[in-house]
Amino acid sequence: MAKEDMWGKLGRIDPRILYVLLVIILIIPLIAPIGLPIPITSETRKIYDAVEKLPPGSVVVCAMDTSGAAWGENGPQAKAILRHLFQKPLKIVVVSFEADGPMLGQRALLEVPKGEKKYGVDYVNLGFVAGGETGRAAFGRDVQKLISKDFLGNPLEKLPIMEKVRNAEDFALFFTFTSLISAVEMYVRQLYAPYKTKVVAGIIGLGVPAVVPYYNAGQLFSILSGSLGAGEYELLSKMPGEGVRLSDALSLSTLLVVVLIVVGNAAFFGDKLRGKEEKR
Amino acid sequence: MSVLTRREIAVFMTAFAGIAVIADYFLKVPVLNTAVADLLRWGVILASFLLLWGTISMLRVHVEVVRKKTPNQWHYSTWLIFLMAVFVAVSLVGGLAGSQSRWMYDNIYVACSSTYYSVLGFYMISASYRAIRARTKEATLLLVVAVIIMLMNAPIGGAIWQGIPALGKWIVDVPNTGASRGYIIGLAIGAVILGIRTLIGRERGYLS
Repeated sequence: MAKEDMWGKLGRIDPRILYVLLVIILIIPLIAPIGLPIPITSETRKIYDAVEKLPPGSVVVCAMDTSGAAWGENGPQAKAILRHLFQKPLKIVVVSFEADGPMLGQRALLEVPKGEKKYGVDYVNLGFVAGGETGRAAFGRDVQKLISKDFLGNPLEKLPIMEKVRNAEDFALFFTFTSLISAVEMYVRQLYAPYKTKVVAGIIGLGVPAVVPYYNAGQLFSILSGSLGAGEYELLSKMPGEGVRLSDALSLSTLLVVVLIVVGNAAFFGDKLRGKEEKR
Repeated sequence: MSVLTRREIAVFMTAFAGIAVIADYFLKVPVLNTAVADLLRWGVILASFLLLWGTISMLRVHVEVVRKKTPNQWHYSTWLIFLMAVFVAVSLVGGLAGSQSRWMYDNIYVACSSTYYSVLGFYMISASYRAIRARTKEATLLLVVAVIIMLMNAPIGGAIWQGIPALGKWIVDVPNTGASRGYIIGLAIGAVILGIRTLIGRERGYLS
């Protein structure tokens, strides 16, 4: 009877207890970081090395194809990359092909330290370009014919940075921060295929397996994977931030999920075993 | 039927635009390249216009719901119309990049959508305990792979056993890439066939 009770109880934990457990497990590492070591993947190191090796004055485009919902993962990625880019003598272009992007791009630009960089000279936010894949193709073809004003309403011809930004052949590196696998595929078709642009997919962790085939085929330059990828990049660029802070919470919540899978299955098999014994 | 509304005109325009864009990819002919660049820009302008059209259309639907006082719906529609009006008014007055717009966007929209997305975490916790069961061989395989990939994506995976990241990477790089390439190539062949059928006017579903 005692055995029955144990399996029964194990299989009937109130979901509210699980929810409270999750909240506690997410809050603890944010208050008191555990500091689990974050291994650096070859993909993240490849991005960092590429940025380090860019010649002065190179144009780097950051496409904020993200949304408020995905900002929890894409935000730390975008900020980690932008922080590093702003330390280098590079020209930074922020643009978005998804409606939520321009505001989030602006938010990222406001939150990162920009040093001596000047708006319109060293960086610009071009705002939203509609049209999905057509918009991306048109952007790669001719930026200045496609967009007449930046996000702040300045005419592009008045921004000195735009003298260096004409088409995809000018992009030394192209980042997309997105939760959309289709967005990454569009860049492979519209920027990599015709112009051989180096496209980096900053994608949420869930989307990584779907874009890996493009990376393995050499069509993507590299992949930055979720908030963990952001943490890796922050460590490489020696500017720890949100990504590093989130990695402990990610570890503990993953551990909780794995423990619950084990507990759930133990209860399932215990119940089955008990059923067999009762039949005998 | 008027000659201007005949389907043949739409089919011809589709075929013309499609063939021009394909030809542009392979040929370096200045006239063609310039024309296609213009076509792409028209596409972007049309898409921008459709966003406005979509907004008007949505507004019409919700105004109708409010006007009819549809039970259990009309108050949500009223709220939607009110918020839409506030966002539009604030953006028009202070500009999209203005501090008021930014404040509303960051503290209302981003906060709500992040919360909405985060709720998935609670579903995942519940599902991991109740649904992910090793009932069959296939389910067991799925469960084992899921656990390895989850642990690979968190620093704790490597801390538990150093082989987990390497094993996870192998699963993503080999079986996952192999299977994904299969469906990507299948999809691409399907898209090419659909494209050819559309260009020669055999596929007219998009006109209905």
